[in-house]
Amino acid sequence: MQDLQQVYASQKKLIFFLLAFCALGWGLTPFKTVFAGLALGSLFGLYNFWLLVRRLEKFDRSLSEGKKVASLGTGLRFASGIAAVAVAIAIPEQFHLTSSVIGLMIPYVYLLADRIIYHVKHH
Amino acid sequence: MVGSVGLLAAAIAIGLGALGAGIGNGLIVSKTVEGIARQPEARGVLQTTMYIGVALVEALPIIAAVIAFIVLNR
Repeated sequence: MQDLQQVYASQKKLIFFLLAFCALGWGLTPFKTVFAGLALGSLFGLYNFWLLVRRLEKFDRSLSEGKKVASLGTGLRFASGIAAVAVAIAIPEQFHLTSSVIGLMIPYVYLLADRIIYHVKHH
Repeated sequence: MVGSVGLLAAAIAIGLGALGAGIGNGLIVSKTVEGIARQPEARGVLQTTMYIGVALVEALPIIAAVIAFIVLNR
């Protein structure tokens, strides 16, 4: 069974490949705004996922130590998602709005696909 | 400038997104607690699965908040 840190490590690898792909697309194709939006969204998505992993592990640790849990940081993740879209709305000549929203959801789509593949392989 | 219909759209988007995610998270956590109570030795596996489920469900309110923000700024 993979733990959250392993999932996050493979997630990070995927996002770095995706960022390299976006850099190529940004440099070599005329769809500069689309690739820039995708890169922006996926960076914020990765940040969201990193926050989630960190907070959930902290939650786990404080539960097993019997301490009080402050929060899971949901508001911060909402805010970072909105920040990605706010950047795309503020600079529409650099970032494509729809592609940045798609980029924001890439880690979650990857997580779902990874789980499905894991279950197909192990059951 | 957002009209009142835009405000209503944003409110419905974020409200229904939060409602769905709340129900989903509740189901995930309740079933995990049930599973841990039945088989305490499977705690680690169940907890990891629960965390991944919670992470997936959390995408829904985030996208709802993003859509509400886009609607408010149109």
